[in-house]
Amino acid sequence: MERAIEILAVIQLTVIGLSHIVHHRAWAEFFIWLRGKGDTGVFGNGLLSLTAGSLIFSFHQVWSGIPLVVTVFGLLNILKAAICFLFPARAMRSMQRVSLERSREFVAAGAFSLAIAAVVAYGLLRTA
Amino acid sequence: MTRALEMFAVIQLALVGLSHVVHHRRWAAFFIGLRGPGYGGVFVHGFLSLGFGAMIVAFHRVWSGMPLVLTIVGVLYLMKTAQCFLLPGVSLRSLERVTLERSRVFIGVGVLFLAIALATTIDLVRGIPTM
Repeated sequence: MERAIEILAVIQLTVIGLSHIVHHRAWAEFFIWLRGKGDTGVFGNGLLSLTAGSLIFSFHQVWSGIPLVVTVFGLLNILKAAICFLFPARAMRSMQRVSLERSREFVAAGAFSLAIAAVVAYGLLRTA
Repeated sequence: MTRALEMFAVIQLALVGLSHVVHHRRWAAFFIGLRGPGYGGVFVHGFLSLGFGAMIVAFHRVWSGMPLVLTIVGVLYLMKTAQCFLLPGVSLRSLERVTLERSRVFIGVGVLFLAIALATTIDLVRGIPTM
């Protein structure tokens, strides 16, 4: 089951990460649209993180080696969801920082996602 | 597998339940926003319920004791999903009943979520093997 979750994480991180790099302006537009929806957008953002985070963390509790990266990634997603659900004003302020002019920040986020995906994929291949 | 699914449900129910209690007006605003796009919002609502319900029913088919509560929650979520996708008009009318003035009904829902999360947690803790 842990391997399946690691494969799931690699797929998600690669697709979303690559998209962040190639279409950074579209992602900025997405978050600007989401914040335009007010509380609906904040909770929608939280639900996306909660689904990924709770799925990863509950089915993947490995606390050593390369797989630890996936566990921590799951925990961070739950933390982000908790901020959205329990401190929505704080989450909204974070979304308000997004602008089309600064959309290149999503390139960095995408590169970080791809780096995590590469590390996890390396761990998967090493134990294949 | 069943324990992992129970943990998955506890995380979701505890966080969303607590948020329903603390931010009931914001959840009312969330559902008011969701009904704005009409059937589009109903289908988004359906997809959210489908993800949670399908996970429970697929990985947690326990039909006795305390865990039965969670299995029933999963089945109820799938029924809600079916209503969203097969009878979207009924679901839209249900969304239209949400108002900011009556947002306190979400506190009741939140307390129910927290109670289910607590019952499932007790079951999880009981199931931990002793040394």
